[in-house]
Amino acid sequence: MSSVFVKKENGVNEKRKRKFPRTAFFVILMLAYPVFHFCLMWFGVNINSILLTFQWVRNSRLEWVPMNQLFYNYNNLFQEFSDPVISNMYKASLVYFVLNCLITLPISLLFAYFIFKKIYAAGAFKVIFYLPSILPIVALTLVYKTAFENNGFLTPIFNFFGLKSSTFFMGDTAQWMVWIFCFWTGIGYNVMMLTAGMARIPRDILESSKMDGVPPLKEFVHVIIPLTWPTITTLFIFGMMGVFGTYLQPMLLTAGQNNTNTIGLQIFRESTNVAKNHPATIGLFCTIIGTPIVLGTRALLNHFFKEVNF
Amino acid sequence: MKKLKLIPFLALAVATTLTACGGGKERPRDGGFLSIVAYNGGYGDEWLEAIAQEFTNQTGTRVEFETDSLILEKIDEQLTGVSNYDIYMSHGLNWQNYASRGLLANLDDLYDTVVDESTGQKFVDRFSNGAPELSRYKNENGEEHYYKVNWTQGAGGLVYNSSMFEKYGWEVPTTYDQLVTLCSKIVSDTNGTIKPFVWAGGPNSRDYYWDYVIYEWWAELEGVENFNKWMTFQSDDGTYSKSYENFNPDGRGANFKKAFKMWHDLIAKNPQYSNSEPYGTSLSSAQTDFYLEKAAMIPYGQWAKREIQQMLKADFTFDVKFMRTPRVSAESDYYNFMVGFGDSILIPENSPSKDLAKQFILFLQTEWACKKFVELSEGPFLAFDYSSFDMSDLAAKDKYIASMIEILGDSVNISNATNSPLVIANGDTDVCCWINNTRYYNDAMLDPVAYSVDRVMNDVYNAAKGSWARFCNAAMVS
Repeated sequence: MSSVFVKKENGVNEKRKRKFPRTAFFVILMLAYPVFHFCLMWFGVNINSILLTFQWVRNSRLEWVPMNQLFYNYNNLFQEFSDPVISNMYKASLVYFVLNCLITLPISLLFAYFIFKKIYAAGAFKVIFYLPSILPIVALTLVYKTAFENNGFLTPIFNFFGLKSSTFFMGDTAQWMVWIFCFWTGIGYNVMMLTAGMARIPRDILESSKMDGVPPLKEFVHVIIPLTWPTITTLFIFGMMGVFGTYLQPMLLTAGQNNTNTIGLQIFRESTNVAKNHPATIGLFCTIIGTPIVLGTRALLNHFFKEVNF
Repeated sequence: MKKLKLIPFLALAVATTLTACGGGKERPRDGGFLSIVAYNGGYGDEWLEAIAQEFTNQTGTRVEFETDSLILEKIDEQLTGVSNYDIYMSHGLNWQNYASRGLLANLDDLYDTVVDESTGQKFVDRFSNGAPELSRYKNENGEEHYYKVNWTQGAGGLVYNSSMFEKYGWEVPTTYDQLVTLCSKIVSDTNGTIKPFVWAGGPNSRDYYWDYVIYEWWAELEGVENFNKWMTFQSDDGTYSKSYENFNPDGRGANFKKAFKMWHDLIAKNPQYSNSEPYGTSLSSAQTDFYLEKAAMIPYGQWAKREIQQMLKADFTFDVKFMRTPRVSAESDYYNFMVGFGDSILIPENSPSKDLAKQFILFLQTEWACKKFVELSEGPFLAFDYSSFDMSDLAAKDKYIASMIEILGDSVNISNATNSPLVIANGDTDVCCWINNTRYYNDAMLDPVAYSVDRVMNDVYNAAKGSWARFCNAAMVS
């Protein structure tokens, strides 16, 4: 805390505190970076993406579409639903809602509860779950893929059961391989977040339910889930956004082949082409469709349980 | 006073913000020296160091150079802002887009430069295989100029263990039929311990190396003129909207189908001719098998020898050569698919040393530089005409290089480099020639009955029909 001396009319120096300007200066200083970053990297980038949807390629460069064809890219987008590549891409992306929200998240919740309850070898399970979350995805995909190649370390096990693991990344099984990978790597992150959420639950609540003889399943359903609901809601929303954002896993595992192409991967791949108007239009279309769904889901989920502060 | 002390911190915060955003405009470089960047692929950087050093010795110009595998991610920002380089050399550059946006230097004067006073030969005449035609494009005012120089040429097809061929007395096949016979002989002579081919369709898949062989057969069946016409992706009337018909296996795609059938008959239907489960074999496993002499041939590009040696950190203990791809017909010429023929050398419009950059490119086409490139990159050639050069010293020193010299010298050289708007807008791997980059080598290898030639080619045709409108819309062609 510092101060300034102001000479008063009667000639006596008086120490007067000037809190406001200093606080304002501090706030401005602290906010300058995030606000600037937001304006440039979020607002600027998104505005640019929106503008791209009103451009087309002429002579190998992007130009504005004329007013009479303002929605050229949007018209094309709807026509493209008949293109098997594009329709399969949307279908394959929607699977990630089921996978992330309806499979991975509930299972993560169970595992997180087991770890929270300190079941036998909970520490080891923690490491097993967390490890895929902290390793780079490139390394993980490499290990995962090579494990199934014809001299991979998992191959003898599958051979024992008469299965040819080297074909797992071909045909319809390729999708399953990507989904299993996403489940394997996604569960660790969820478990990490959920155990952190559960760790915040006051001990006295749990002890009280224990004294009342509440069995573990009831405790899980009636105590743990409601009290970790904000974390569950957040992870559910993240899982939903996986529909639009999953791209690295299919890119690194199957290069998007065998019906594993996703919206995110298509946008990523096309963003290196000259016709950036197309991926930008897909992106904006998904945002327009996805935003109300995500916000609506969030509002709905928030209604399930009353938020409790502890 | 304390506020004054905050100024450096504020300045630091602003600088950090700008740096983090990548929006900090660097000070334009001074001219007077050259800065070059080349894609860090399978060619190494020894060639660039040697050529830059010699250029400096001859001209006194300081040359800074580096190789970088991230050029493609950086170049757009470099060309639109302040470029750190005066010359870019890489594959996969959207040079037509940069040219049309006025971001590349006009190279008309370079192409018009006389490089040999005694014969009056100009730079434009120093190329072979139609490279200059592929280097012209329309700028933002609709005027056509030269905007790039082709970087490399090479070969795609089969690399073989020539010591093994000598040891067993196997003749190098010159026709497809001889290749079929050879494969059978390799298996019988070695009781199947040595496979005719090893290839990688698994992790880090390189199954598309078979494309090179198939393109060569296809071009031979189609004729080079028709093949080049096919690669424009136009219908006969010059339109695009229905040119997916080029993939019709009963129409203009018939020769593509025939070429694929040759592969299917030889490879997919004969699993004993390939390494075990090639669809699950990684590139490094395939390279190792070839190095350990478990296979006689491996499909590859011109960078094979150097890349395999670098990967395994060991020199070959036997002689390797590039094979002239066996012809469909004994009466025909040999065909060679020049992998990387579309790779580019660009000078950015914002370079402060454009003239020096042009001088360097002129130096690249000299016999000394051309040969140095081949010697130090161990196989690939610069895209210039080597026919007047005495390459005997390099050929005597390295049998692999000798085989490359033979192939480039006496084959009909083809490529899929094109200025087709469809390819420029959509990228080459989606449009050509396996639609949406869906290849069938692995599937056909695993189940040649289910993935018959007819089924595969119909799938390709249907995929073309399904996606063509999207490709055309992206390219704004009809």
